[in-house]
Amino acid sequence: MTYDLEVLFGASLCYLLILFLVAYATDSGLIPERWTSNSTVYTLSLGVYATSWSYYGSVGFALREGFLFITIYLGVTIAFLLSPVLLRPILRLTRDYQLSSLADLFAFRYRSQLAGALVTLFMLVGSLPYIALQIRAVTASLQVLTLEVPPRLLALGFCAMLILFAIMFGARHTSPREKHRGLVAAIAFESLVKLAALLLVGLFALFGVFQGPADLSHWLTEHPEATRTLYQPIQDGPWFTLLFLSFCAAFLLPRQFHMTFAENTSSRSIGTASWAFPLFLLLLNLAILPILWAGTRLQLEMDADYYVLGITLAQGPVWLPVLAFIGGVSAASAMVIVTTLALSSMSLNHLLLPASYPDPKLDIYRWLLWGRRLLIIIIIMAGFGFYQLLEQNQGLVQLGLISFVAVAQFLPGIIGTLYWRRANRQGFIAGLLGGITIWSLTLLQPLLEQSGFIEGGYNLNALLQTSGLGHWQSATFWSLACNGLLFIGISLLTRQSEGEREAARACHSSNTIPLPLEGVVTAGSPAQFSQGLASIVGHEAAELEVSRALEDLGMHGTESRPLELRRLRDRIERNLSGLIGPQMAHMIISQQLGMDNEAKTALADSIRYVEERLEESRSQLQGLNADLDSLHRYHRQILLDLPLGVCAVAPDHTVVIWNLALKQTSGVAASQAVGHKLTSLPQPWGELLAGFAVTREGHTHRLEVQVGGHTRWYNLHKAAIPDPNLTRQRLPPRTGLVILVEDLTDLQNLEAELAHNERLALIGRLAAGVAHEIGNPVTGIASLTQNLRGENDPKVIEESIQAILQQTRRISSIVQSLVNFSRSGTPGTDISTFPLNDIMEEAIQLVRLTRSGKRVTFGNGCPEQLRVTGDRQRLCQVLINLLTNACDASSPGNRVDIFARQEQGEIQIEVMDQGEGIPSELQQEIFTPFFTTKVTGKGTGLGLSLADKIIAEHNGSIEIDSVPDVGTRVIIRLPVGKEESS
Amino acid sequence: MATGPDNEQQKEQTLLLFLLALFLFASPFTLWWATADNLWFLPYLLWLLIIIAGAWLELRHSRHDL
Repeated sequence: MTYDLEVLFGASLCYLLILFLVAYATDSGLIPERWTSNSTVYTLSLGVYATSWSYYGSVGFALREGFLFITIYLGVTIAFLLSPVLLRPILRLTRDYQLSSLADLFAFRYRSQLAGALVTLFMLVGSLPYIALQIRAVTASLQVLTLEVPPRLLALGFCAMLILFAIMFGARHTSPREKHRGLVAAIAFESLVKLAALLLVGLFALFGVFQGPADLSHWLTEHPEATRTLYQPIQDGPWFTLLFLSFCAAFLLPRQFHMTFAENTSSRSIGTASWAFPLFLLLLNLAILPILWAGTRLQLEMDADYYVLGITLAQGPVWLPVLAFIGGVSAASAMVIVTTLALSSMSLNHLLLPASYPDPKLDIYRWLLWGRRLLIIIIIMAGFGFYQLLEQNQGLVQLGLISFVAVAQFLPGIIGTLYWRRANRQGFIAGLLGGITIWSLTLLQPLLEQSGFIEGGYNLNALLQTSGLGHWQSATFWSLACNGLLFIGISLLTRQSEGEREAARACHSSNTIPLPLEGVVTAGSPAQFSQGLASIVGHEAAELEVSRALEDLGMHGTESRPLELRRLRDRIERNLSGLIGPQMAHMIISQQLGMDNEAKTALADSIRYVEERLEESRSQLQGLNADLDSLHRYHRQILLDLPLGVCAVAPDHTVVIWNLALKQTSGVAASQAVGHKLTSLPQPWGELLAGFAVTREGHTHRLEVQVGGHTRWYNLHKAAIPDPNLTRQRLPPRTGLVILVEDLTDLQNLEAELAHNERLALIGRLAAGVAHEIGNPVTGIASLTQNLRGENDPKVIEESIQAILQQTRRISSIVQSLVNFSRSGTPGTDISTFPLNDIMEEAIQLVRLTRSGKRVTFGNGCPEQLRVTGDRQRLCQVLINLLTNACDASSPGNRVDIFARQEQGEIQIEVMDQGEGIPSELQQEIFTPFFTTKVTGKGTGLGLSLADKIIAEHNGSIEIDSVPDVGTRVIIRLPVGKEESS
Repeated sequence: MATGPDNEQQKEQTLLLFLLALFLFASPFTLWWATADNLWFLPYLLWLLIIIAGAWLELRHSRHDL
């Protein structure tokens, strides 16, 4: 049975059109996103690993090398089983730093454009034979089905279709952040087609060529050599080498790296793929042996590589060979498309851009897009050129394995990236060059010799194989040994650059939080960032990139904080890295957004940044890091839950901590405060805290602040937080501050209440004396009035009236004193300047009315002209308290004297008694609230403490000088106000 | 996302599974089972065993993550 070329061409054209339709429907949203962005589609898209080598070549490979064909998938299975320690860390790096290819990853880690260029060139050289192999598989399969050599034009047409598809669906966006969902869906569809086609051919082999499993089993019993030849190569062949090579290829081949990492939309998908993708490969391989045995039974006279087509042609229904052919087209096209996209991205970033950077006047996005499209055309056409020159007798497997050994040369580099911080660019480049050289001499040169490109090259294989190793084993072992030894040796002998050290820290572990302590961006605002970038990437692109980075970080365009600008700079570099490659982005950013490397960022400046990074990576912390994180959280929680307002500020007075108590005190939420300057906080807090932060005093007591129309009182304390890093580096101190805000309003109100109650208690104590004092003149007035009834003598009447008026004045004086003392008022609001003698007389008069006051003699030694500024009522209360205490301590007949004088800018008032005195051990305690030496009910214990508080509020002081059994002297010192000093 | 200790446990179990895979496919044990007397589908069964073990581990940890 043969087919017309036109029929097959039409079938493959129809298939490619369906592929276009799938990609278009996905990209345009006709297929719901949940159907295409899921783990199943992702896993199927990884099936790009199975190329025409797997589809056609596995059967031939199994015939020649038995079960060795299975190693190509077992190695992948092992690599995917290791995804938590191998694939996930790479995925994290590619996502965090927007790296779209292996060349990007190496250029980022080793901070070397040369490393990126070398990797790209090597990938290109290693992949072109592989692309050529796919084209050849398609044309060879056409030849099998038509029994005629297909025209070259057909291969060219196939390449043109692939170019069109790759450009339309694989080069839609310039940034790796934008995933090509259409491409992924199409590649997944291709995997499904090739799996279905191969399984159908396998089923046909089992039930069409054989009569079912029993017949197959019977045939195998009759042909024991069929099984023996399968197992024999495991003993003799390069089983372990191939296992190792496919392990490397699983994630290092350009197409695998692209689909596994660059087109990944969810980190969960890689978990599912860790078992689902090996399962897909297992299913794909189930058909290989039945097809091989069917071909053997049918005694097909053709290359075993094409038994997949051969058995269907010999006995199958008419549609089956076409379906098998479509499966082959599917396997080949998926590989070419994805490999080309990956190579074009690498070539753009690491070859084209460094060689000819576009003029800033051009639209860089457009330039990149068209540059990538041009590279897609060049790469596929180069593959086509290679196909034309390639010797037809090269087996599919041989070409594929050459690529596998090529990509295995990146294994030392990737191990260095993930697990060895000391690895450096010199070691990497030297190792890679060493590995490439041996690979070229052992594998590429013989291929080119066989194809007639070169003649009579040096035969290194003969020398290397003297070690007893086979062809593949010796090429793999010696190239990797040379690569690894050079990599390790030169890395140990040479030093890393600072940039490499930083990149190594970022790559080594997600737990490391790099502190940007060194260097401050010289640009002062995002607008200056745009200006700086515009000269390289153009105005529009610069503004777009800056605004995109601002959006990513949730920053405002007016941001000016140094650390936030540093983060913005890093973010722009990452975004540009996705656009033009990490090394190019690094160079542009270093050049255009310069850093003042002398300036250091204090630890306090970094706290927010570090906190955010810790929060992001908390789930990944382990061991000591996790313990340190828990400890840090515990300490932080102590600060946050402290029932005292705590506000920590960076050296530039940006708030870094604003705790819950301060939020409740101020009404300003942490989100409104953290990250903002003190001066920009809502009033009155901005002015209050910013003002306090710059004062020299460490404490401010009883600061009266109007908050929301109410008067509140606060104590403020502050302490500098020296930065241990700066101190260690012997740099000038840039200290942050911690400010404690103590809300005294409740205490103030309580004290006012107590003072009021104390006054009421004093009034109560005075009341009896007052009543008695008023009673005497009232009795006198009553008697005089009684006498006046019968009195006609005008002289006596006049004397009586004078006596009554005198008694009335006495009553008025007593009442006025009491009224003055007892009237209510807000403490501290009635400040006036008045003669000190007035309140002294008033106090003496009132205390004289008390029972104890009547037993002593008062003396007033206050000069008439001495004036004092303060709250008259409260100062009077102080004197009454002191005089009452003096009277209580005095024996009948003792003197209580009160003196006042002005000296050295202060007014000194002394209250002296001849009482029992205060024991020295109690003198320290008598100002303590509720401390009293009087019997219960005689005193509240608040008198002296209130006196102390009132004097303190007048910026004065009070002290006790007492000698037991001699007497007590209370000395009050008050500052002289402006008025009285003048 | 897996929490720290859970993530650590997953890594440990993954490494154990990796060692099992090495034992089956890259050790002298490979040469022991690779004899002509064995069933032709034995390598597939061993392969399936490893896949099932990997799936069990992954599904177990992804359930914990939910």
